[in-house]
Amino acid sequence: MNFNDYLSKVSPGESVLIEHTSLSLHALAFYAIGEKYGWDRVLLVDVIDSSVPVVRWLRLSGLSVPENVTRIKAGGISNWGRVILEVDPHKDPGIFLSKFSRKLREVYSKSEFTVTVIMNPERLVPLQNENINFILTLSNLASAFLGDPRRITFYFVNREMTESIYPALLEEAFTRVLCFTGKRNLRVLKSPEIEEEGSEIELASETATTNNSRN
Amino acid sequence: MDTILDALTNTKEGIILVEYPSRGHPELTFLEIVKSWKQKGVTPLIVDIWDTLHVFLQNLKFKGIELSVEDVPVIKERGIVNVGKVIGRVDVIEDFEYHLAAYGRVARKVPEDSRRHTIVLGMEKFSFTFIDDPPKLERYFETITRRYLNLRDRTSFMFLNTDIASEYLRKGLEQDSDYVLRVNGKRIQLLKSPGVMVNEL
Repeated sequence: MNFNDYLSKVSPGESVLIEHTSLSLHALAFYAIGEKYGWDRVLLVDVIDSSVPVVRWLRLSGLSVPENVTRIKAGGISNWGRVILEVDPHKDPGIFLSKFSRKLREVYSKSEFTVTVIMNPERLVPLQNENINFILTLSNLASAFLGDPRRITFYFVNREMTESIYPALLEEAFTRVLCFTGKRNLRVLKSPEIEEEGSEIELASETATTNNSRN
Repeated sequence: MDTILDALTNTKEGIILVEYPSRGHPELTFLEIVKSWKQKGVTPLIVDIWDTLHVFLQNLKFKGIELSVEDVPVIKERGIVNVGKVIGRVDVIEDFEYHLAAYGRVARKVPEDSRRHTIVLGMEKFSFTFIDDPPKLERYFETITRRYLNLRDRTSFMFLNTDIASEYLRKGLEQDSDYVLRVNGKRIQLLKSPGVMVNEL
């Protein structure tokens, strides 16, 4: 199945985990999400500028992401997008996580529908020195919003850059888990439709090209 | 010349990670890049971390290849052997804010012609003392390497010894690079590149 078509199966309220690698073309998945739901509905939660190499790779590939995507920054130095909140992930997690969750609630209540994309939250874990309480609090924050029909959430997690228990906690909570098996191929590891588990999804090159030429 | 290197030395923009093993011959890749740019009239900036440039040139010399870098501007970060036209030194590495300030002062002296083409040698030696320290590596990515993602219209080759680099360092740099090459002897593999079509360079 094509990744674009697969997105149509995801219902409001669901949380989808996308496990990628450093060499996978997950940038194309990010692009497909923005194009599918509309970039104006996207809320990008960006951990230490993790979206910057993604947007850069897309630009060099001839695919453009609008400049005004709504963005919450957790660290990093890039000011791209429309930044509505900036938190310091090196500081006390109690403070920045509560600021962050307050802002999420505010965005969800003000907009009709939000597609939240969280880019590489696993990189917060070393910043907090692998603190186990922090890992549980962080993953629980993701669980807490599960089922809220005002949003769909996609987490991008680089499985090569985490050895912690964090992805397992997300996998348990999330309704869908997709894992890159090649540069542009994903496998469904978990789904509410159990029979589709194990099936393959492809990020078709023509999809991305077609979508872009529409702009 | 290798077609991948030929294409990459023609590109206007790109962050290119060149991965090599300790017993590979990265100096041959380095040679091809410098020669190819030279033919196009490009004199790159070389950022020489510890004495990696010296090591590469000596390995070339004993293969019978003389590569003159006398006219090539070099920024030295640590190390003791000056080769090329050294325009400045940066000796502080571990204090990133201090490092950036010192590097910024030296970078102002880089000739206009060399600002769009850079070769960084010895990436793994920059992070050597914190190579197994993910919290510090994350601060390094956040404050130093990701800074360069915001610059346009320049091409940089970054050489990384993957026998020395930790998995965390290598994976972090791979995630943030536009292109990833793996070289071993004369074999060059392209592991990552922009382009939505299959097999596009």
